[in-house]
Amino acid sequence: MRKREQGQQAETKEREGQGQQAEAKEREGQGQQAETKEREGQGQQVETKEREGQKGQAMAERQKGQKRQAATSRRGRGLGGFRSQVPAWGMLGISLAGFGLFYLIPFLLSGVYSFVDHPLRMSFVGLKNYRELLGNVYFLRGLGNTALFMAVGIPLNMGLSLGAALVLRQMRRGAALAGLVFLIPLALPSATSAYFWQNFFGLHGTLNRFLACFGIPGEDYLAGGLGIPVMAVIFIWKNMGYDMALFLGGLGSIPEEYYECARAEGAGRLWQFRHVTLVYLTPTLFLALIMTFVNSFKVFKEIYLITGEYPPQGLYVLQHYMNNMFLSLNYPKLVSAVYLLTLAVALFVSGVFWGEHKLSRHLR
Amino acid sequence: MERTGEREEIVFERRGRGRIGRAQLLSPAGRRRMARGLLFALFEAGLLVYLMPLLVTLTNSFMGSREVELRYTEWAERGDYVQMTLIPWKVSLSQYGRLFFGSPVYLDMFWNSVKLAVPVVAGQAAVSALGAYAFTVLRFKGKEVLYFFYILVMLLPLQVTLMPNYLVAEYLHITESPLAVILPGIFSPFGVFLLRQFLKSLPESCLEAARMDGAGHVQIFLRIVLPLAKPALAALVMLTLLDYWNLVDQAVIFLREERQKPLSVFLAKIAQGEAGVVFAGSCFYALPVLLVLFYGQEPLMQGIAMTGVKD
Repeated sequence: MRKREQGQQAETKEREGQGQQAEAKEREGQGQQAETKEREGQGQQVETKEREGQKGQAMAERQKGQKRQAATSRRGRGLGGFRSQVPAWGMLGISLAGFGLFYLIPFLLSGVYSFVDHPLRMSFVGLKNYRELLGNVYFLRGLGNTALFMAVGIPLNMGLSLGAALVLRQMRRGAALAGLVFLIPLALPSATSAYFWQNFFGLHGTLNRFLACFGIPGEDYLAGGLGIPVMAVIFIWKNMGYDMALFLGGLGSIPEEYYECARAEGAGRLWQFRHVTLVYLTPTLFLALIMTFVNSFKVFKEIYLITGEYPPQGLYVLQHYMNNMFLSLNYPKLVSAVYLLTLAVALFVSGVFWGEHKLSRHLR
Repeated sequence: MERTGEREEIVFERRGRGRIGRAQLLSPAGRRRMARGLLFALFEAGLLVYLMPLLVTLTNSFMGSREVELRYTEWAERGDYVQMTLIPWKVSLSQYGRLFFGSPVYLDMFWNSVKLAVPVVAGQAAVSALGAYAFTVLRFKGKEVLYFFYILVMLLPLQVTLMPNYLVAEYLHITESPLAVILPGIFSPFGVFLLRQFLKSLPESCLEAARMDGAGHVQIFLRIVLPLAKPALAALVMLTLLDYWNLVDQAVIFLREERQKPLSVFLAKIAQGEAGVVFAGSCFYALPVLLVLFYGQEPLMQGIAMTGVKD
């Protein structure tokens, strides 16, 4: 033991003392000069010689490789020419043909309707439809309710799902079963869940029966006064599983070493959550935001099944307006609403992507 | 996951030994343990609440039809509360009897659902895989703009895309036909998004190596990408199935004839008119997707999870 220790000490001394100095000297002095000389002088000469004079095979091959790389990064990563890319273009074509035919082209062409007074008469009225829409009580009510519902429901759903995912990861057994429980609402028929919620929230419903036990007077929660919370509950109940699966994947991809590191430095749980979990979960959070946004529109299905085409004010969302305009064949109003909503969604998604870009760069 | 579990157990044991004194119970470790237990209890209670709609539907499907009508409609109409319960007065199969033997309409509707969902799921998986692969390997000007349109359409509510769908269906003279629901479903941009999100996470070296060996796009797609994308494809298949098995909005617009309607739409009608069989109908209808979910939970969770993890 002692011998080894002595030996080590000697070694470190040597390293700290002469050895390092010598090394440093060598580096600063001759070594560097020699290197730079070599680089500037001979090396270049050799290279230029190679290029100009010999045009060795190796060099030509390398150049070819470079060219191919350039082409790869520019056009595609195929085998060079356009011909080998044809199958990929065909694949894109299949998807794009259907997407264009059923979504993009009719969507763009229908824009005409928003500038005319009547789908059959088709006389140009400029922006009148849009102006009228922005003064339309129903449209504004639907827009307001939808925006409020999203502002409440989306963060709540994401927060609860993240919490559930964190708890689920801590579970020693039954985690798979608990995960399944959260996915089940996705599999229940919408009519069934609508029926359940109707009997739960209605004036004679189970919630009121429960509240009556405590002497709290009943209220018809489906009459719209508390429309936003009711929609939020149904939405969260149905969609927590999806977000939770996303978060479980995101949490699983964070290396355990990061936490060990933080713990070794004496970081508390909250610090770990804020500075490790949330930071490395950022990409997942953005995708979850997008998917929650998509799913938040789907709550209409249940609301529609519960209350029909003309719900009370508090449950009237934008989809009701659009659905009713569609059924009454009022294309000008419908398309104007559709275009306004599309604009809002486009702004939202651009904002999300921009935010993700900024934040991910900031974090790195 | 397992590793952390083991560690936790060790910690628990150590804490357990020190629990003799009362002061130990109130120590930070003890308090944390209590909070943890409370959290788990709360979580499990939450799970039970979460399951309630399924449990009510399942247990009440064995309730006599008359009892369902009494509990859910007649008493409420008289001004009393709806008597939702998990325990029926009497277990009976009368709902199922009425469902299967009372009228052929339910089975027909079920069959309608199958005829709508299966082509959409198969087509969407195939088309999306092709599209996602093309979007991953091709580099061209305006690709991201085009992709942005895919995402945009995916984000828009169904009520927005129904109108374009309807206009095209009118143009192709397929309104009132299941095709008007199936074709837009096949080309819905969601699958392209989901699978491309997954393909992004594939290491480039994987495709690179295949290309070095002289494999073409078709070979790479069939031999490498498809096998690797199995979990993501499974997730897409399941998500599309869940979506189209429970479709309501499209059918309301396109399938006006009663005999074409899927059971998902008809269930809503049953709930309004003939409450006596609604639970059995729901169970019958939910069973296939519940089974799919039960056996496919792993790939579904995995597939969803993979789309959220970037490089």
